[in-house]
Amino acid sequence: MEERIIDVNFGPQHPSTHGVLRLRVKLNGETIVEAHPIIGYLHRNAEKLSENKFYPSVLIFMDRLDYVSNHNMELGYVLAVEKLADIEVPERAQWIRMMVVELNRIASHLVWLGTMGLDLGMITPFFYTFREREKIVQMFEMLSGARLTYNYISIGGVYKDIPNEFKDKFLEFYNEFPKRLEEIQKIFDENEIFIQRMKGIGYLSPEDAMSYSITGPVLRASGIKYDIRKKFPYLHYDKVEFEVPTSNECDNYARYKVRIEEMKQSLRIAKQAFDRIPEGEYFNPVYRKQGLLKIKGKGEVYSRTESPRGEFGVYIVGDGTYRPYRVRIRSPAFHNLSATNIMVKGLKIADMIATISTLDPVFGEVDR
Amino acid sequence: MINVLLFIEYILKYLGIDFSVYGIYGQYVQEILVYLIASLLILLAASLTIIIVIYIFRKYMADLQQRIGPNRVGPYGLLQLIADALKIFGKEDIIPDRADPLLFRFAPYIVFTFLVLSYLVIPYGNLFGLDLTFVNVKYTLLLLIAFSAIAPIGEVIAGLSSGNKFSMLGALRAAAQDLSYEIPMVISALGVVVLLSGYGDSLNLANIAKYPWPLAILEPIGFFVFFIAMVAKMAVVPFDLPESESELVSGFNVEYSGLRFGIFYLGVFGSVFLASLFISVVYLGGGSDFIFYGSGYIWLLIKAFIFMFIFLTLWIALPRIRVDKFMNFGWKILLPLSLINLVWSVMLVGLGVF
Repeated sequence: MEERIIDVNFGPQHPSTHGVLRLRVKLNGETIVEAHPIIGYLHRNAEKLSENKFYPSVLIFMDRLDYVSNHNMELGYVLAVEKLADIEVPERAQWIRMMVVELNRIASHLVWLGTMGLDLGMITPFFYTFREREKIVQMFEMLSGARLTYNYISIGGVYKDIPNEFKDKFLEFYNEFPKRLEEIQKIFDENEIFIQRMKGIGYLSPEDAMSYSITGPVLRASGIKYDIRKKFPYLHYDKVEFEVPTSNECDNYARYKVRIEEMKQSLRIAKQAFDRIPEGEYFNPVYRKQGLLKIKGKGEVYSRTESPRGEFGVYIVGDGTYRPYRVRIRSPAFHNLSATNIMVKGLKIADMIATISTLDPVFGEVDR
Repeated sequence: MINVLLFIEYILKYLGIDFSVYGIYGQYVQEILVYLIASLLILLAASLTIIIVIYIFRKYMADLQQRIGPNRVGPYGLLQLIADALKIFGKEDIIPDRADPLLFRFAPYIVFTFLVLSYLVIPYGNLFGLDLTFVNVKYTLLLLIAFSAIAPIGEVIAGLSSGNKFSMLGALRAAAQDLSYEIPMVISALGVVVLLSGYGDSLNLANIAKYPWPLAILEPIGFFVFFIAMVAKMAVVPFDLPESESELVSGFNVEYSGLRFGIFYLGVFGSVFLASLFISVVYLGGGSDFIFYGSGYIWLLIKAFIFMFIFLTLWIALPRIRVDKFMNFGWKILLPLSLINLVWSVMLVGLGVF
């Protein structure tokens, strides 16, 4: 029989491309010969626009990068500016930031878990994960007043103090979440079809993972124990106890497992941070008085943080004015996505969708 | 016990509509009129059933997903479907440039027509002494299998005539899937035919349904194969490969809009209930007078609804199986199992156990 290879465009409008990913796929029947991701459909020029903004104003672009884990994005930028302009941050704010960021990591992984279910044709777990995420979002709403673009972590601290109701809400969530997570996990893990769809699919060897500079849960699922929170601790990550889950399976199932474990660890960190929030200022008193607009920066800084997708780096060059000279963002999902072709080659269409889903790209961040 | 066709004839006569007085051609006209009314009855009943199934599906799915489901339009959201239908019928009917217009227009009707025809063949038992068997030829089982096997062909036509790569992949999947489940299904149904060969025409569904005890107990393997084949036949999760929303956007019906899409949509739910009826009739004694004497129809409906809930639960809870895995499953597991079941049935009959 003659082999005919057809070109198919997946996306940018496609139900399971997590935004606007376009894949140029060469198909031999159902088998994938080549798959190249094409990006740029959500490009909003965040890096260049930042050059025309004052240092605190750039934060709104950061919020809109990875719209599933906004706090993590804010944190990366804020840490960079604080390093650049030498701004002191009160202890209370540091602990609050840590708690908030870890909660957001849980929320982000919940979104991923639900949408992965959708990609595999399971509609129901999506609602369960979003129910849990809703509790986190409500907590964030208490803190910042917003549900999506929080703008909460600020240069010099956090914008608002923790309200009193927050404590009860957090403790309730802390006690309830492990049970709920186990419930959700059961839907996946006790399902033979799910295991079949995930195990041994989308193999990414550790060597490939490193050479494509993949970070985050995807790298850890390939057996490399690299977590910026442990290697280059920022905030107070060196003062809390947590483990870095890894797996040597290197397949979709490993990535699923690693993310589930990470949620448990994040909850652990969030609780420790919550317990250790000291009394005191939550915002640098100097800047409360003079305002943030007068921040000047000179020199170069690079801050790396562990976002839910991997190493989120912000590189800022300051030329001594009120505006940054250059803001460069290293987005983890962009690098992770670059391994698509080697991961999906030779798989079926259905497996390609599942594999891309376990890479967890968010296009606000990929396209910047 | 009076057959429903005869009943219609009596009613016509009672109303004074009688063409048979005009000789032999008048008799034909009268007969055709009776069949026409009976088909309209089935069409109405099938449409009503589909509406009920969709409403139940929505509410049930919402329940399992901790939502409320439709609750705004009409009492308990009962009119939601009508609102949806109005919306969908108001949409523009787009025929793509690259499509084959004739086949593209025709495909949804093939699916739906043969779905309704399958409903016609099912023996519904009796209701208050009225025998609800519409078609009573000798080989209704074969007829039902044949009618219900044409629906996937409609899907293949729809997919191939759309002129879209996604729908083409969907059509190929539909064809592959059709082959993988249809053969095990027919062979496992053959087990029942062999088993009941001592009880008159065992290829007649009405005759099969007359046997009151569930044959699923005697033929667990055949029942299992038939059940899986029925889930595959409906083409819903876990076997919704031709449609597979997250992979092929919407598979074979990706280019359809408006009324034609609505027909496909109705067809899915129609085949869910048809599969429930089919499996209850073949393997669970159908509408026999078991508990409700003289009203076996109610007994059939109870069984069918139980099966429908099982199917819907599978639909809501499971992920989609991969296409090559399903073909392996069909050819390497279901087919041998159905053959084993056939041998088992022959043994039961040959040894005189049954």
